[in-house]
Order: sequence, then C-alpha cells, then structure tokens
Amino acid sequence: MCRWFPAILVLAIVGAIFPANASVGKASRVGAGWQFIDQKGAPVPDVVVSLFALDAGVAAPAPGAANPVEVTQRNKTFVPYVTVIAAGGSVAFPNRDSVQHHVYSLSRAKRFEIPLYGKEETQVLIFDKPGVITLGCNIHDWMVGYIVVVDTPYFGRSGENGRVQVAGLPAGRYRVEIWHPRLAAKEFSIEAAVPLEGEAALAPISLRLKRDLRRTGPLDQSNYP
Amino acid sequence: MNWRPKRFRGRLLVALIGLLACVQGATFIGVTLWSRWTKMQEIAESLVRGVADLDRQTLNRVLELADKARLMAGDYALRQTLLLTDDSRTLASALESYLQRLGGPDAHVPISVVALITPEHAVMAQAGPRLAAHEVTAFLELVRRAESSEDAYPMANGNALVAGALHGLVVIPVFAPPPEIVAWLGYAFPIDGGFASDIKRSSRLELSFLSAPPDARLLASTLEDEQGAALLDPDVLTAVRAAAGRPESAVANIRIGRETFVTLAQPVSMIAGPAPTAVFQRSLDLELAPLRRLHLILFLGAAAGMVFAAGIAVQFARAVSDPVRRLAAHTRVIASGNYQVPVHLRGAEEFERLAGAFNAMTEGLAERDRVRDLLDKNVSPEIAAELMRSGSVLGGEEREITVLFSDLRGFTTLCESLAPREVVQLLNRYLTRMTAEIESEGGVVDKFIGDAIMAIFGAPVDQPDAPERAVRAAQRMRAVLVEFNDELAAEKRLPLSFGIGINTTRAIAGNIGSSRRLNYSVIGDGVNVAARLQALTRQPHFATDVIISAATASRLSSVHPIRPLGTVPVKGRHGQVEIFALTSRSGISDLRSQI
Repeated sequence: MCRWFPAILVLAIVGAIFPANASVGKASRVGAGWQFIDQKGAPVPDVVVSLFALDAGVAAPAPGAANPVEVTQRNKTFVPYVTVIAAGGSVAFPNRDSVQHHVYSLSRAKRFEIPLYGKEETQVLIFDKPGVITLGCNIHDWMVGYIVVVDTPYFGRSGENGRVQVAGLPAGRYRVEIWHPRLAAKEFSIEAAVPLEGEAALAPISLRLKRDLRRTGPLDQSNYP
Repeated sequence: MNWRPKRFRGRLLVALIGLLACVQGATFIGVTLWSRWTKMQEIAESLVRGVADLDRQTLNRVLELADKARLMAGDYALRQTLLLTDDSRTLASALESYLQRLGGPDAHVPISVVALITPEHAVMAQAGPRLAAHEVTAFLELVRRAESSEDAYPMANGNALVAGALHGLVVIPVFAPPPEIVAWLGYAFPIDGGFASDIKRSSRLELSFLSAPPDARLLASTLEDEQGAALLDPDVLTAVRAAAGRPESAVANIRIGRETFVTLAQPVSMIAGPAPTAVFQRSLDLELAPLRRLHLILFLGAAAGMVFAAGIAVQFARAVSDPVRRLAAHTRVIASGNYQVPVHLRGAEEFERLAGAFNAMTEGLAERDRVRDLLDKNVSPEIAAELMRSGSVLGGEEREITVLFSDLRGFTTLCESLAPREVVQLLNRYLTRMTAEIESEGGVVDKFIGDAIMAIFGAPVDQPDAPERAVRAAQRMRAVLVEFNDELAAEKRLPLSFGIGINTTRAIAGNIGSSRRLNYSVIGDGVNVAARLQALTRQPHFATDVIISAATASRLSSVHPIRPLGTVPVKGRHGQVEIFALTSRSGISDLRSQI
C-alpha cells in the first residue's frame, strides 16, 4: 500500500567529483544540501530526503526520544502537508479547527484511526515502522497528509524554495533516498559522498512529478463557532 | 375495306393502353424502387445512429454506476471495513450488501459482480458469481488502464464475458484519501436483453449480440425467439459476421426466415479475447408495409386510368375512322360517276377541310367529265385525247397524213325538196354512218362542212398504213352508201351519191385557230388537193366516185382495183397531179354513178 517506499535501489553515481577514499568514520559538522525542481524548472517543496551510510563503520546515532512532532488540522487541512520523522518517533494530531475531524490511515506502515475529536483535542501516536503513512479524514475527503517514517537519523524536507539541508553528517558515501507524494518513479535514490569539510554543493535535481490532484475544501470556515 | 378502320381503332387502343401501361409501369417500378431505396437509406442511417446509441447507452450506464460507486467508495463503512479487517469473507459479505445497494434486481442498472482489487493487483474480495481466471484478468487489465490515467478520478471500462454473458466492466478507485488509492472497486453490469430493449425503445432497432466464433450463441437479443434462433443459422451467421468485417456504416440485407432485415453488424470491443458481434437490424418488410397501401392505390389508379384511356381511345379512333369510312364510301359513289351528292364530314376542322377539298375535287371531276363529253362529241375521240394530252397549245407538227374528202351530190336539190328538219335528219343519218366507217378504219373526222366530210388518217395518231386505211374507208363508205340507199328506197326517197378525193401529203397537224377558239386540224396544200380530187369526180369522163392521187396510190401496200386517169392540173397548184380512180370491186358503184 505504500507505493512510494523504496524497496529496490536504483543507484545513480553523482559523486564523481568527490574523492572516493574520503576518510571515513570521523564525525564532522558538515552537511549536505540539494535543490529539487520539477519538469518545468519550478522549485519543488515537500521533497523528503533520507540518507543511509554506504560505508561500514559509520556509526548511526541512536535516535533520541524527541518531543512529538505536530501534524495539526487547520482549515480542514493537514499542516504540514508532509512530515518526516525517524522510526520510533511520535506525532501529535492537534485539531485547530472548530469542526471535528476523524483522522485515519489505511497505510500498511501504520493503520490507525482517531475517531471524531474536537477542537484543541489531540492524540499522540508512535510510528515505529518505516514507510509512508497517508493521512485522511473520514469526514473531509479532500484532507490529505503524509508522514514519512525513515529508518535513519539523517533526513530532511525541502521548503518552498525546493532546498533541503541535512546537517551533522559524518563524512562518507551515502545512498540518498528521495520521496515526494507526486514522484512519478516508484523509487528514486541517488548516491552522494559527504566530504570532511565544507558543504556538498550539488546541482539541482530534476524530478518528474505527476499532476497535483489535491483538492481543496470550502474556503474560510472561521465564522463558524 | 371494312377491317381497316377497325384495325386502326385496335391499333390506337393498343398504342394508348400500351403507352399508359408503360408509363404506369415505369411509375410503379420507379416508386417501388425509390421508396425501397429511401427506406433502406433511412434504416441505414438509423442503424448508424443505433451504433452511437449503443455507445451512449453503455457510457450512460458506466457513468451512472461510476457515480453510485464513487459514493460507495467514499463511504466510511467501506473504509472502516478495509481499516479493520483483512478477512476476505467479511469483505465479501460487505460487498454483497454493496451489490444490493448499487444495483440490485430493482435497480435501474442491475449489477452482477462487485470486486475489490488491491493496488498490487489481487482480488481482495468479490460478490456475485465467482470470477473465473479470465474475468479476473479482465478486471486487472482495467485497473492497469485506470492506473495509467492522469485524471483526478482515474477509471476505466470495457466489455467482457462474465459467466458466459456479455457484461460491461467498470473499475473505479477507492481513495483514502484522494489521491491515495487504497483499492479498486470493480463491477460488472449485464449487457443483456433488457439492455438491448433499452436501445430498441429509443432507436426502434432490433439488437442482438452474437458470440465470437467458433461459438455460435446468441448472447442477448430483442428478436423474437424464432428469429433469434434463425440468426444462428450457419448461412445467416456467416453473412452477419462478414458484414461485421466491413467498414463502419456498411449495411447488408440479410434474410431471416421470410423477412429481410437491413443489418449493420459491428464487432463489440472487448477488454481481451475474440470480439462478439453487435447486430443492429430493422425489418425492411415491416418498414415497407405502409407502402403497400400506396402500391394498391397506384395499381387501382393505373387500372382506372387504363379503362379511361381505352374509352378515350375508342372515342378518338371513332372520331377519326368514321369520317374516313364515310369518305371511302363517298369515293365509291364518285367512282360510279355520281357527282351530285356532296360529302359532309363532321368532327375536327381537318375533316371539314378534307370534305370541302373532296367536294371541290368532285365538282372539278364533274366539270372535266362534262368538258370531255362535249369534246368527244365535237371532235373525234383521238383528237379529244390529243387535246387532253397536249392541252390547248396553238401550233402543230409537220407530218405525213392522208386526207379523205367526201361530198354528197345533188344535196342542194335535196334541200329544196325537203323540209329543213328532214334535211338535217337525213344528213345526220348519212353522216353518222359515214363517220362510223371512217372511224372503224382509224380515221379522224376533222370536220363536217355541211354535207361534206373531211377526214384525216395518220394524225393525231401516227398510222404508217394511213393511205391503205383511207382507201379501205372509201370502199366501206361506198358499201354503206349502197345499204343506205336501200333504206332510202324503202322510205320512198331518192338515193344519194357522193364523191371522194384522197391525197397523201405532208401537212401541219395541230391546234389551229385563236387562243380562245381552236380546232385540231391539218393545213397544207395537199389538203386542198384532196378537196379538188373530190371535185374531179363530178367530171363524167372520169366515171368514178373515188379519185386518189399518185402519192396515195404509190403508198398502198395491198392490191386495190385502181385505174389510172392520167394527169390533171389542179386548181391552186402549179404542177400536174397524176390521179387514179378507185374502182369498185363489184363495179356497182361505178355503174350507178354512170347511170
């Protein structure tokens, strides 16, 4: 059911400019950054990148028990549209609308529902299985949101300008998995090498996206109590 | 003669009725062919519309069901079921209730099958008849088509056989939430007799679905059972399938049983596998049925027209043949010489003019007859004939003729002793006899001069033996005069005697006189010689009543008793003329004249 979840790796070597024998294992304060554009060259927000070390010995820090990430319901929309968390992380679903919501997911990674709940009510769920969880509201068909649970501490999500920064990476080679709700390819990943110093400045990555079929609900409902 | 008008009448009758029959027949055939052709065109058009109708009706059903199914797919209960259970039996039973809700037996569009298909292309659960492998394949093919759609609401439809029956299959997505497709909802609605009836209601076309070969099955049909079965007749089936192979809108006439159906066959596009055939038909015979009344009216009209035409033809023929017959009868009257009765023809102006012309001709004939009659009496028949031939043209031609002149002796004395009437009577008797003798020898009496006769031989008709004839005539006249004198003696009258002069000469023969009055006569001094020779008979020393000139005597072909009289001067002529006396064979005449 989670068709976006990578199962097979398609490797594209783009790290030629980086030394293949870069020293490994030393923690560095460097980060990696990409910019995503679509077929028309427009920046693509909400692109999720998750990095997996390819070299043995790169210690992946255990994900700390962070505070729950919030996926709020506001104006009968999930905000943010795309949320990325490390496996084992928790998400709170506060309702900021005056109407009730009935959040559910039929995704294999996490099948759940939070039956009708009102304003400022919230529930925190733990997502321990990696995968893409599509969120819906049983009473508002147009509401759609995504929680991407990744099995790595190194991830990021592109902003409105299509840029994403992943900081605090140990130097080394990584498989970079890329996900977007409208990504045409079922799986898409690249290989990247993170140098000891400085920041990997990569050329913009062009994504082939499908048509945006998101619907919008009725506009401003704030007049309702 | 009598059969002619009848035949004309018959001919006219045959011609008119034949013409009318041809025109009516051509009209009848033309109307029949034209109406048949237009009906076929009409049907062909409706058949093409029927194909569009089938597509539209199918699409309507698809869209109607899609709308219903869309509502279902968004139903919380379905999500709940999907959310809470992977138990396919529970799902199947839930789908049963969907099947009833979407398209139960009482629904506008009944549904046979509902199936829930995972995005991974597996049938999660189904309601309705258990789907066979090929049916599942058909649904999965539709899922693949829908997946490749870029539409916000991806769906696909197509046709397939489900449980051996033709069905329309539709696949729609189950969103959780849109555009996240968590499952596909597939359903099948039957394309059956009811469906075909719907098409028939709107298009008045018979619609049948024939299974793809090698199977020969009627999948659905609006035809009566018997005709439906007839459609499966191998010959008909072959014809129908051949028609399906042809390009769109090509129609064929196919006989089923005793009816002719204008047929348009089209393959039904299937999701996979051999295509059945959709057969659109309309009975041509049924369509042409109202035209039969027109045919009857045309036929009766034609018959009435022919009877009327026959009447007209008879009347018309009579109008023509009656005057002709009357004219023919009148011709016989004219031929018999009765010019007194004019003919009157009633009817067309032409006949009146013909009658006028005919009467004018009759008058002309009568006039000519009168003229001819008078001519015959006044001139000799030969001259009359010559006049008729040459007309009244003045002038003549030079030719050799023999002239005979006779004159009575002592006529003046006779006139004194008798009353004028008696003289004329006697003269007429004498002249009649003499004329008869002259004419019997082919002579022509040119004129009577009192008691004298001038006769011509060799004109106007050529007579090579003219001198011979003239001499013979003279001898006959002698003999007749003897007989006439015997009659006179019996009447106690004195006998008559005459003198005859004959001369052969070249003279001008022709119409002589003025342009208003003319005679056919001969002119030449030889003519006068004949008169002089006649006068010589009075001289006693010649002792003969007939004197002929040497010119005549030398031209005689047979031996005649002639006696030379020497040469004599003739008054008005310079030379001497040798003359001969024609002596009588018996000598009686000579004797009498001498007495």
